[in-house]
Amino acid sequence: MKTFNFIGFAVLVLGLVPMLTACGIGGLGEPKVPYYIESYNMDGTKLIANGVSNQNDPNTYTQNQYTLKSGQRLLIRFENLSNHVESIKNSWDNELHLRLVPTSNTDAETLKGSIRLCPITKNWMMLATWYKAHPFNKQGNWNNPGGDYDAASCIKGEVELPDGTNPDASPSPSPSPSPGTPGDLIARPKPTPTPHGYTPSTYKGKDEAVIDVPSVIFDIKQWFQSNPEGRSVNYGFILISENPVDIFGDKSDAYSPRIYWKKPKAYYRAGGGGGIYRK
Amino acid sequence: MNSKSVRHHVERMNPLLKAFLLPLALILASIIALMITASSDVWAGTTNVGNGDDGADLEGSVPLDSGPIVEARKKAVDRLVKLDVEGIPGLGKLIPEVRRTPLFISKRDIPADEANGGSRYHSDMSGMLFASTFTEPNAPTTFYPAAKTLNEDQLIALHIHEALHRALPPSVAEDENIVSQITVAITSPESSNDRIKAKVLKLMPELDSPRMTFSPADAMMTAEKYPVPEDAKVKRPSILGYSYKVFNNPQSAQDSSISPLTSMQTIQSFLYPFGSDKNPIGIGIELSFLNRVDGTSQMGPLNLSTRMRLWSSRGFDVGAWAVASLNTLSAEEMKNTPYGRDVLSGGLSMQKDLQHFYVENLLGLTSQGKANQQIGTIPYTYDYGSVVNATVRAGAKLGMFRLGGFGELFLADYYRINGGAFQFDSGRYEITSGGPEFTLEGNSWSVGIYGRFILNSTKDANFDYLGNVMGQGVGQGSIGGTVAIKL
Repeated sequence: MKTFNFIGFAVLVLGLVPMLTACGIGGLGEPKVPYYIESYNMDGTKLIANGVSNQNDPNTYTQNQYTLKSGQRLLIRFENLSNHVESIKNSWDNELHLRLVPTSNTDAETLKGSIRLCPITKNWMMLATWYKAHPFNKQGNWNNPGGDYDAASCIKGEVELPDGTNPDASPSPSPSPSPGTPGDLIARPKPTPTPHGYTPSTYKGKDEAVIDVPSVIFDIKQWFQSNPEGRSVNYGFILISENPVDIFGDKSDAYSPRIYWKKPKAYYRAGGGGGIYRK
Repeated sequence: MNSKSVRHHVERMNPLLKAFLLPLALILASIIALMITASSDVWAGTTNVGNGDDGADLEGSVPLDSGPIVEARKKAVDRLVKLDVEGIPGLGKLIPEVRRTPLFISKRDIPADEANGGSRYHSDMSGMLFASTFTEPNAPTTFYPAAKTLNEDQLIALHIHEALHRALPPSVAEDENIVSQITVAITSPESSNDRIKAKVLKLMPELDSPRMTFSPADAMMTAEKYPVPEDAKVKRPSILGYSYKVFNNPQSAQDSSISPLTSMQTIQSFLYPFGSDKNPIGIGIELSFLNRVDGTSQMGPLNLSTRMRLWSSRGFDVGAWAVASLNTLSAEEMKNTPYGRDVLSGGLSMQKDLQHFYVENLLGLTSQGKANQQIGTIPYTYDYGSVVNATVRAGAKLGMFRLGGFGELFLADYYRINGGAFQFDSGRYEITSGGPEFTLEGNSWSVGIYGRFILNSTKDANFDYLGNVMGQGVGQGSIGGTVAIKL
């Protein structure tokens, strides 16, 4: 008769419990907000205006605010995005957003209705003008004065209120676990009932920026997957508005044009079999 | 140094005056001669400007740059060239001696000294001295106010006569009789190469020997078959100058340059205190002031350079140069531009100066370098590859006018810009440029205007790609002018 191997069972239990705990399974402490917000200023910000040919005009960069209108557009780019591609690929929900904050002269709804965010299709630099992406040769000329962009990929934004809600969004889904997406290694629960998840409580991220005014959020995940991730190309965006609107500029601390994604807390891959979250 | 001068005096002065003045002049001249001798010894060169015996002939002397005496020298050279005296034994150095002797004019007449043997070439009927020199190569010639009474033919004869004292072999250089006879043979209306040669060989039969040995001076005479013209730069390389350059720097919408510079002013000082007359070595300093598009001016790079004439062969001068263009003195605004880099250049030059033509070839190499520019929050780095350039400069010399031009080719490794997500790499490229040069050259000054334009380039390159403000400038080229004093 085969006897019960008590010692073997004990070893098995003692081995499994820490593993399950580490995996967040077993009710030993699943984090309420298992990510923090990674946010960066769009440091490459250059205003281009019809008629302005001075490439190094100090009024076209590092400003507190910019006015966008017909004949005046803004080039924006997070210059070091290539250093964060892996991080964004493994972001919580695989989301990537860009936020613009209107000044007191422009309300968020007007900004949302007026402005388009379009992917640029030619590399540019801070000496760009309405006519040139860069001044170093004829290839630096925009094919179309005012900037070359993919018009079919232009997107509109959504308003986000200071409490993190979207006034135009449908009722929030229940906080039940969502199915995994292709980029996920395991199914992860949706954390909050807000459209984007950038609630004030979750702003305790890298720069702890708190937006206390309505702003406009753009979903740039598709652009990211097609360009920085898919082709290692980061030409950034051009902001186009035919109606005059004012937005805070790159010199503004909290309200500057920023890029956001959710970074899982202490995420790592286990040897080939999947990933686990640590609190 | 041989201090024996050839002087010719006829009339004696007032004994009382002579009793006081001549000893005083002798003392002064001795002091001056000692100083000059000492300074000459320091540089180990045979410096011949100075006084001979009593020094009275150089009292109050000033350099002679123009006038009938200078014009007569040119005609004397022309006559000697026409007679081809270079091929006559013993006269190989005569043309260079006429050409290059520094000319001085004394402020007062002095009497000739009969004790040294009078000559009709040196003094007038009243016994006042026309000219004096030393019996050694390259010695200066001093003219006296009495010489202003001579006509052109007499001045030509005087130039030749004085030069013969320096050009003939030492054994006969002080023989006034021989020198005078050769002077007559050269300057007489019916003179010819054969007659001069016959006269020389008659007076100096030892020169007719095929086994005659040449002294070092004679060997040098042979090397002077291609003499450097009197107005060649190597003769007086030191200058103090000012230049103004306007950049062709388009700022239009479609065709704009990255340069914020519109023009540049430079103060130049090139001094050649080292080396010898044939191989001068100089150091140059250039201070620059840059004018920007916004109307402001600021200090630009500081150029430190050294140049030297390495050797001369068959009439070609070969020199070497090196230039360091430093941004240590530049304003901060200039440092924060694509041009805020130190540039090191060096190369060789080959030059030939003829009487009515000049040509110069330059080969240069410019080091690679790097400049940084912060625009907004993005730091950009401009990397410049090494550049090889070849320049040909040629033109005509008509009197004091020099009209010519130049063409130059730049071959560069790369021009790269990196900053943030932006990258630009031109790859290898070339620029061909050229332009006119027009100069007025005086004996002690020069005024010129010039232009530099891009004739062709690959990769749409312009002078911005070279990043050398003090060298080729910026944008599409430049036009400018310069004023210089020859020291």
